[in-house]
Amino acid sequence: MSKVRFPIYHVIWILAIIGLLLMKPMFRAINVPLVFIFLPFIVVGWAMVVYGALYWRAKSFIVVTESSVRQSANLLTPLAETDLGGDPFPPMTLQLVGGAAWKGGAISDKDALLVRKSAVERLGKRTLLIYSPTQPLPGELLLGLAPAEADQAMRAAHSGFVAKTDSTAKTGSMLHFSLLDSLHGIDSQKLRAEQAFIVDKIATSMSHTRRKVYQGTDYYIKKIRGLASAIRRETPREKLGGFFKPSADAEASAAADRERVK
Amino acid sequence: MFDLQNRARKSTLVLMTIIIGGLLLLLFTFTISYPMNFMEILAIWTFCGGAAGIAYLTTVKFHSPICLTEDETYTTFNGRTEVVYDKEWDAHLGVVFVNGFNAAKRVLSKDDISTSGSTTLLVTPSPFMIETFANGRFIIARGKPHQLSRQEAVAFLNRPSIQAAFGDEVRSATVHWLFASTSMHADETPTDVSTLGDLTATLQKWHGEVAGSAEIFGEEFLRDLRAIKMFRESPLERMAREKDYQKKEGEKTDDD
Repeated sequence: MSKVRFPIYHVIWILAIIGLLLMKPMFRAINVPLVFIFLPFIVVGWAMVVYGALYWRAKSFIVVTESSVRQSANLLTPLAETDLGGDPFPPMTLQLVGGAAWKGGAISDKDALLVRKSAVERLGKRTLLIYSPTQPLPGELLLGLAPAEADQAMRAAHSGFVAKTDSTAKTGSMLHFSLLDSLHGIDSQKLRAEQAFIVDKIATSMSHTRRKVYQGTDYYIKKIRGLASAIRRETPREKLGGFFKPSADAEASAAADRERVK
Repeated sequence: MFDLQNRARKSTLVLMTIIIGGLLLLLFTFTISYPMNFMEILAIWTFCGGAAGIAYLTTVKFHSPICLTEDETYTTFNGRTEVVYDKEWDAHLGVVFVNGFNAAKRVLSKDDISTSGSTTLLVTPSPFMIETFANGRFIIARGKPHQLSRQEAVAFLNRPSIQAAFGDEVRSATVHWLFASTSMHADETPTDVSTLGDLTATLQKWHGEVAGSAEIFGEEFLRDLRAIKMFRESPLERMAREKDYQKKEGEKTDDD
């Protein structure tokens, strides 16, 4: 049975609170402005919102990659795996990360890892080692790199993966991708450059293509709407500012004129 | 672009409302007081300070270098690992210093050996049970840690080999032994390794095929100009056009 490790500063903290409450009869009541009572709770609330989720994630399953990234995970079972014979692709695995599961509470995984299956090793019950220098990318690119798996990730009941296909969507998931495997020596500067090429030239355009397919004619309507809204009127503030300082556009055109004169 | 600017303007307004509202609330709460024991208020401040501190420390530890074992995870200051030769046992021991923390962007850090010379050690019977991961940021110690009793830990620290190696810096330690590993195995070399150049060619071919069929959407769309008209016309123009159309239709039916 593993021993429960309880940090000493937790003990000191709890003892200090008990000690202060025990000393209560020795002191009298004073009038305290409400601000001094509410403020500490506001600070704690803020700290819990900002850092509290990480406490949960720190207690969950661990996924570490060769690119020095530590992730937490709700589940250590991969969402999808490919191991198809006769395929030019190496067997790949799609692992969801970024969530948490601890003491009966869980947060779904919102990010994804797409790596070679041969680069994944499970260590004990709680850890997954990924021997791949993963490249952090927008989650949308999963649509281009592994289209079928992307659809699974977006629609699986236990997944929180959101490929940001719409520019108005506020947050999107992150994809950590690699075709390299440092455990078996499939890693070099040339291979990394080739991987970047696959991401830039193939995955990006493929994800655009898929977006077009999903949205149909709406895709073009949105494009035109975006172009139309880019041509806009100046705000009163910008107009007012223009009296004192030329706008960036005016400066740029003036600079271009100067260049032409030269 | 326009959306972003609009959003930024909106968020600035929201922020200003929050700040002004917060200041008003602050003034209001300053003027109203509540009778309370001085120790109670101190206890509230201690509780809240501790809770905020622990939450913050968690982020520091989450982003620290770590040492992973088959059972437990330890944070570490810099993943210090040593190999010590023990003459009596005629064995090379692997020793990892853990329980410090160090996250560069998070301000706080603690060395693996405290100022009093106390530390936590993970010891393996062979240095090959320890490996570094991610350029040394993570340490993997293959084995399940078993904590030695206090007497055993003192006896271990007093061994001549350990004294010679760490006697100057370590005075007391919590020692965990990792006797055996269940996860060490010969690496299986994948047989289906194909170069990324091949993958690129295949992907380009596939992508070309898929994109070709998807382009049909675009062509169909461009043939249908009604959608473009929709943007060019103002609502007033559209209403006028519909009115004209209805008028013409009416005339037609009259002629009939």
